[in-house]
Amino acid sequence: MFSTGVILALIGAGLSMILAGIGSAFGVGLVGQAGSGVVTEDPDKFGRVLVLQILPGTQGIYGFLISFLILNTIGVFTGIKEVSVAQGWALFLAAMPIAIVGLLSAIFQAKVAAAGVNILAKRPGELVKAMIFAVMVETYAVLALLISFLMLQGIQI
Amino acid sequence: MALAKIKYLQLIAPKEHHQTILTLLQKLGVVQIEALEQGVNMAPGGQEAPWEELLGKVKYCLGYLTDFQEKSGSFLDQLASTKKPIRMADFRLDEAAKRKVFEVYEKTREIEAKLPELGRKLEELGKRQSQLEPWQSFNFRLKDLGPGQYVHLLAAEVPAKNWQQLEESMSAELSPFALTKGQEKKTIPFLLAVKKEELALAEELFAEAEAKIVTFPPGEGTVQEELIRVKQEIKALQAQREELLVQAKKLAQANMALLELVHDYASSELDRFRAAEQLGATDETFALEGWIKAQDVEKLKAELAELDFPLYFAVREPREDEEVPVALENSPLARPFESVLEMYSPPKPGELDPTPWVGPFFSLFFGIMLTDAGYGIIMALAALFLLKKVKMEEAGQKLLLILFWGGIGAGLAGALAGGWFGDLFGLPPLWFNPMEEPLKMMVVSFALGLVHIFVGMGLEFYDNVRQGDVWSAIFDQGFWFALILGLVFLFLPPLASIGGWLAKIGAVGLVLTQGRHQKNILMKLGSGLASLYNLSGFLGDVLSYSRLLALGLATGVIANVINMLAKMALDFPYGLGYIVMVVILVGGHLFNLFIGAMGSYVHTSRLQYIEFFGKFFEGGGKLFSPFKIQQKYTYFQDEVKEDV
Repeated sequence: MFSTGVILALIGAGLSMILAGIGSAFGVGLVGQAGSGVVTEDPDKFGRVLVLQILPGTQGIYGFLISFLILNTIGVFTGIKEVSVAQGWALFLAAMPIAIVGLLSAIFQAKVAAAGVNILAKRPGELVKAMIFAVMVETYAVLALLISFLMLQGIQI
Repeated sequence: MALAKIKYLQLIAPKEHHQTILTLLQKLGVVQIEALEQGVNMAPGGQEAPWEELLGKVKYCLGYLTDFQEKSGSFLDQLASTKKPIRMADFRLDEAAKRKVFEVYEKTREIEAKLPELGRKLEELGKRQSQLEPWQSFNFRLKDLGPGQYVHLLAAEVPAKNWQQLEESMSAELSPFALTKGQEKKTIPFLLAVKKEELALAEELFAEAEAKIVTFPPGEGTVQEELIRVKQEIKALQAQREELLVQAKKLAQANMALLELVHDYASSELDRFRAAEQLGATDETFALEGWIKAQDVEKLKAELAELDFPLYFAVREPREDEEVPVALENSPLARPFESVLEMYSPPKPGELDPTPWVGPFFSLFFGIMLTDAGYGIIMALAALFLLKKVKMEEAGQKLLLILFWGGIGAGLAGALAGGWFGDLFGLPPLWFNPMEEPLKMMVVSFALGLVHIFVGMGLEFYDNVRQGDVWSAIFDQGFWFALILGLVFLFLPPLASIGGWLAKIGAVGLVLTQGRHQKNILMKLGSGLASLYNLSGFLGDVLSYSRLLALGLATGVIANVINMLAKMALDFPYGLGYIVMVVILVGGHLFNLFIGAMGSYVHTSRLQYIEFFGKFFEGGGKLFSPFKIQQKYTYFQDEVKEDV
């Protein structure tokens, strides 16, 4: 009952959420583990560790965002529209930048943030430096989000 | 607007007055003491020992008692500072307070010694209880176990499945015996009376059936009596433990403030003894040297003049080869953003202080990354509210002020882009909606980035001119300005021809001048040409500002998604939809605000540090840190700010 175009778009929307979500879940988990060690020693650092833990969480949100926009484009909320195979592929491809870059950048960013937890353990005042290191990685997720978004903008259904 | 002027101070006075001088300096907090090489420990031996002892005890009490303190454990308190305000006049220590501290210390020691002891006893009794419980139905006295005159009384347990085997083997092999069987569970407890000479045989049978002989700790009375006694003892010990915990809690509640005050006071006393170690000394005098802000010299002079002993006091300009500390000095408006700079690196001596430039760009970029007027207003109001209501130290206040200005920026950007909690109210944008015209917003982002970077280069240009190096200013910044402006103009048709010329002038100028530090003519040209490669780095810097668009979009789209989900909830029957809608709206937007504000803060910082500072700022200075009263738990609420 669904056209191939719709299925392709749905696969794209799914992958965008799945891959970026996996990346963020892994990332937030990794930093959380590293952070727990520090908080065991000094519970007062909870707030600052939390800030580092959230950093690799944004990729999942970006993935969700693109996923949602694709669903909206094909009219999942208002009534499924006619989507040609070519349009389906186009929507699928638009999801790829944030899906793939989101997955990998979240993992790499988590490693940097987990290392940043060590900075926090020894020098609590240097939180911002640890954050900046992690944000250097996130840049590419932001760029991927941007490209995914621009690709979506160009696809008219 | 710049770095404070710092001078070098030398002071010589009679040796016996060194504590007076140090106390004065510590109170004023305007001098950073430099260690003198011929430093002699000025403190007559042993004077600091009592303070060290006191501080040690206080630290011990603080460490142990914090766990018993009632905490207002809200998330906000976790983030905010927990320092307590005190008045300067209360920052002292009288004998009564000292006695109180020793008293608290003794009590704490007592509690700390008793608690684990109680725990150990309770554990032992608990084991005893669980050992006795299966034997409740038996009626024997514990001391009757073991060898009697003719028989041996045994208490043992056997796995239920082996009971029959054991019973049969015993009937077969032992001469008449008395056996009492307990309740049937997984293991069956039983009492056996055998003839003394058959004990070894019985034990053999036990081994075959995997039965174990139970040994009780010595006790009078029957099992039941013993069990009651144990239970009573447990109750008594538990009550004791409760009592101790309550005591500890009371102790913590009543004395935490005092302990914290004494901690800060004692450490400031100790600091002074340590400072004394940095002084130089002769037979009769001591010398103190250090850094002082030029503006504080007169104040110090006046205070010193009131002392009733002779002293020598001189202030001179720092020498070239000295590592002068730097102190930032900014208007109250720009001051919060000093913390952004300090987290990166303080400027090196003589460098420009970029703080006044950080403020406007920081709030603007923060605002664009959030692009929601609703969020911005909430943030600004929340920051104001916390500033008024929550007492906190300076660093916390600075952060709140930064968030306040960020909120203002977001309000502005949101109003321009039509973001009020996303599209909740469907308000039209004052300028244009970046979600509908993302490319336009991208151009705006790049333009803002270009302005930001140009300001950075402009600051370096100014700095070069200020230091008299006009040629470097023209070669290193002027030609870049020309090249980049020219390239930008190429995209704007009316200016294209001027752009072409500007770009050519810039490019040729760069090729000719960027190799000027090389000796060989070929190397000069080579370096010049290579310098054009920096254009790609420049391009990367500008492209980096696309995050302004991306993060702004992310906040906006997520806000819209929240609104959409909330509207879907309206379909729920019986008016339930309204409740669900409100929950989704409030929770969702708060979440989005939190995530968005955090992302904006970090990414804005990055734009400042990498793209902006990279153009002109070196950093690497050491912050001026005067010798003053260091407080870990308290702060002076009546401290008058001197450096406006």
